[in-house]
Amino acid sequence: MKMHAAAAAALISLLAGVPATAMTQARPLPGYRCMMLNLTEPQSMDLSVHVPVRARPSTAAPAVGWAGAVLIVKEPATPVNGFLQVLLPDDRQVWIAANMVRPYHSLGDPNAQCVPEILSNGRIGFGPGR
Amino acid sequence: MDAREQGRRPWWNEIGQRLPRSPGWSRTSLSAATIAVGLALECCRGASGQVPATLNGPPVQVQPYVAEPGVPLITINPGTVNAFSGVDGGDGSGTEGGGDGTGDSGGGTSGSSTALDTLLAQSWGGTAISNAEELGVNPSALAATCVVESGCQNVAGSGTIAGAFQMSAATYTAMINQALANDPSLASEITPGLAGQMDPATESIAAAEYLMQGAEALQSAGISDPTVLDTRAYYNFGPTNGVALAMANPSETVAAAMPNVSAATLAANGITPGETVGQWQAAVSAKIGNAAGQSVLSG
Repeated sequence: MKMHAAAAAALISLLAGVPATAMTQARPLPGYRCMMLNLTEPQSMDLSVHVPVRARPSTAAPAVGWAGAVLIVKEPATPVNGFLQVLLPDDRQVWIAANMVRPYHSLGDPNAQCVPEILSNGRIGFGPGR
Repeated sequence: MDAREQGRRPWWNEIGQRLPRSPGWSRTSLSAATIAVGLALECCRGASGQVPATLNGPPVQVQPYVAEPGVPLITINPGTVNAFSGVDGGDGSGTEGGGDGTGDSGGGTSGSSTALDTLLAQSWGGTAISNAEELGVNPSALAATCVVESGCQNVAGSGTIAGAFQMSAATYTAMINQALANDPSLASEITPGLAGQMDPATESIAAAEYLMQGAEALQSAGISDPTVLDTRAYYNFGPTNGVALAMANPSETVAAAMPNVSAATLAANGITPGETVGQWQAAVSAKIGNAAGQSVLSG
C-alpha cells in the first residue's frame, strides 16, 4: 500500500515538475542574541574602520577577520577575559573585545527587532523575527 | 494561520478520513498510480513528437505585475551579442548569473551580463575586461561599477571624482599604486600619474583593485562569496554596515540592519522609512542589472 502511494506521489511530482527537495526558509538560531558594534555613526560608515575578531579570547590571539555592525553573540553574553564569543556568517566561532559591543538598538528605527537566524541559503544572519 | 491553529483538521487529513480503509484505500492508490503512469506515458509521447524550432528573438519573458522583494528586473536586449561570452563562461544571452538580488542569496556566479555588454560597447571595454581578469575580478562586476557610476562614459564628477568609474583622486591613486605593487607588469600598460584617472582603461585597473579589496574584506568578515550587490553596500555604507546588510534577511528593514545609522543619514542616502533590505537590493539591482547577484571575484 505504501509503495503504491509512494509511486503515485513520485510520478505526480515528476509530472508536475516539482523538485524533490523542499525550499528552505530562514529559521531562528537558538542560543544566540543580536548585539551591535559600539561605534559612532561616522565610524560605522568610515571605510577605514575595521573592528577585528580574534581566534581566542585574548589580545595576543591572531585577528582572523572583521566584525559587521550587527553581531550574533553566543549566550550567555558573559565576557571571557574581556571578550565575547561571536558567530560569523560563515559559521566561524570567533571572539571580539567586549568593550566594542553594546546591546542591539537601532538609531534609525527604535522599534526594530533583531533575531539571529539561519538564512534560507544556510548563512548565519539575522531577521526581524516575525 | 494554518488549519491546526484554527482548530480544525487540515484538508489532507479530511480526505484521508473520507477514503475507505484497506483494501479500498489500496485500490484507490493503485488507481491513482495507474492514472499517473498513463499521464506520464502521454507526456513522453508528446515529447517524442517535438520538432526543432528556430528561436526568432529573445524567449518570451514573464512580465510580473507585482515586484517580488529582492528580485532584480532582468531584461533581455534583443540583438545584443557578447563577444566575450566564451571567455567568461556565459553564452552571450545576458541572462546568466542574475542571482536573486538579495543578501539572502549568498554567493553568486560570474558570467555575462547586460552591464558587460555596455562595457564592451566602449572602445576601451575589451582592455578593461582583460585588466579585470588579470586581477582576478569578474568582468561583469567591473562593468556594473562603470554602468552605475557613469553609464561607462568618461566624464568629470564633483570635486576630485572623475572618469568612467568615478573614483576620487585619493582612492584612484591608492588603488592604482596597490595594483602596480601586486603586478608590476601593468606599469607598461597604464597612463602614469593622475592623468590615468581620465584614461578609462587605466582607471579600470584601479577600479578592479578597489572591488577586489572590498570583496576580500567581506570575505574576512564571513561573507564567503561576495556579490556585486554586497560590495556596493560595503562602499556605500562602510565596511561594518556592508557586512550587516549581507547578513540581513531581506525582510529586515535597512534601519534595523544598520543600527548605528540615524534616520536622517538613512534619508540622506535615499533610504525611506520602513524600506526593507530586499527592497533596497531590488532598487540597486534595477540599476546594475543582472550582474548584481554575480560574484565579484572570478575563478
